[in-house]
Amino acid sequence: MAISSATKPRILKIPSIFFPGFIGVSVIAWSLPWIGLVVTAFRPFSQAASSGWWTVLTTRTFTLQNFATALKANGLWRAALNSFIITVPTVILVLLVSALAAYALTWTRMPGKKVLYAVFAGLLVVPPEITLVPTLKVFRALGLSDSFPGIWLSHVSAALAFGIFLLGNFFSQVPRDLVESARIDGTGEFGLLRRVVLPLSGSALASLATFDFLWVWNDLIRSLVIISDPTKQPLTAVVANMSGTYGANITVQAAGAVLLLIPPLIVFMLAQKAFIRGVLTGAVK
Amino acid sequence: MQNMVQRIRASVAGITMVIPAILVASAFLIYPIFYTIRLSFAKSESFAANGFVGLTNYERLFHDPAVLKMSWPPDGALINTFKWLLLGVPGCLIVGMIVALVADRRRFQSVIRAAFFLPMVLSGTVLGTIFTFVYSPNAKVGLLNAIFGTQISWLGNVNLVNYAVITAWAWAATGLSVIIIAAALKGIPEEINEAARLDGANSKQLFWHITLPSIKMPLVFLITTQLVQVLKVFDVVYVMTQGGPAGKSNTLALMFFQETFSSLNPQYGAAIVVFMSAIIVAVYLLARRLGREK
Repeated sequence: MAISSATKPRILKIPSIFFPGFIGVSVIAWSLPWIGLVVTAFRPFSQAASSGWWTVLTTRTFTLQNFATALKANGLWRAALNSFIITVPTVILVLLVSALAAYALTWTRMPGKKVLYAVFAGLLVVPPEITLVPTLKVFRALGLSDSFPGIWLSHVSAALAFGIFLLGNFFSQVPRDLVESARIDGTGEFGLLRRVVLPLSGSALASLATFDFLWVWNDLIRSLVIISDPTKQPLTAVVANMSGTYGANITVQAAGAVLLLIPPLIVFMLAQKAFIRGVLTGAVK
Repeated sequence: MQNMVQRIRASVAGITMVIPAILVASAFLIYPIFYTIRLSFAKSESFAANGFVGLTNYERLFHDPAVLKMSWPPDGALINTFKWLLLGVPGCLIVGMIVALVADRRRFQSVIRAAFFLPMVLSGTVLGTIFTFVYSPNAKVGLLNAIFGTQISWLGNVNLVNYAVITAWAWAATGLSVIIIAAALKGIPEEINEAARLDGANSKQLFWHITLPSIKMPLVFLITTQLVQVLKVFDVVYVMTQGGPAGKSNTLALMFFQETFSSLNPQYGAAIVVFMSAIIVAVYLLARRLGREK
């Protein structure tokens, strides 16, 4: 039954004529903060220090110098590389470890399932900050201090409970007959996971990957605590520490921040649906 | 016979599959949690968990003026947390609700959602940088001062700094409110709204008696999530003020970090983070109970 917009019952009524204008204004007003940052990053320092970024509407001088300075002089190129080296393998590991555990807890008949389930449910509510300091001790014991594999494992631990529940919820919705008939055909558990369950779970995996990518790329506190080697620090930590020393050079600082926001922005544009779906899984049933 | 072998094989496969998760969880979650708790009861000697001083660190927490100073107006990280809770969370909720309601079932809904949701994918570091500029005391750099024609140092003024930082966080966090409420609103069947209208309900009644109850569960989830985010906020404050000026914008997470690494009191820092975590766990448990009562 089609209902025209004019007769749809609305809670907050804004006359349709004003609506596009209202949208335009609110969207732009809300976006001003980040627009300001991006514009500032492309302005020469002399101009940025003496005129507001909004003046670029009339005077237009843009430069890439700030990015060059940030990348070279401030070593941001290495920090950006570190961010990638830290984030990408972590996401892959998270998918792997979570999928295996989620499948085991959902479809296999292993002993101690209930206990494990309860343990991970408990870990879901504990904030990761409480695990940061001892991680250094664990690193030392395992010979992983300031190593990328150690950093990966630490980040994986943060996403584990969430990943297991997200995937577990999804896996449990795979039709029982599919699984059972494949079992009868003699498919082993690993084969079942790889050939039956995973192919059906594309969207859940995409959501988890998107979510975790942003989580790890944007992380600050974990990196500050567990990484002492400055050559391994990711972009977040380096840019965060710039606010102290580069208080004067706002354009270079802005360039650093813009570099930091580009991958999340790309991920956001490409995977908006996957990300939102991941967020909503817990919220709207 | 065949069945038994199959079953054992299946169990073994299952156990093998969980082992990576168990190993990672044990080494990097479970052991650290217990170690931190143990550390909070230890004597102050480097990062080792030696000695036992009972609840000293926790007593110190409650008597530390940086955490809680009962002056007028009251001060300290805990008071700041209250400010965050009372302003940040409802603020996001209200703005998110308005945006979601206005955009509900309209054209351009995706544009609106995207604009409000984008700040959510930014890291706290970027957020802090953006708003350090917005709040710049220099009217040529700072958007806010340019708009109001003032020279206020929003982050340097002890009376304004908390509100400034909270607003920065809220700007980004509102995106979560918008998508969750928007999705929840979509789930309300059109017929219910129509029936209510036909019965003569006005917008206010419709909202309070039909809309809100229908989205109760997502709202509980949203509020819980944002409460927890606020309780452990770190990035934005670290970048914008480092807890300053003079510790005025301190939060529990920031104090944990500073006590552990700047003041080199890891035992005290551990007590702070355990305290913070206890509050968070309590919030989750409360939310779960609220979720069960229907």
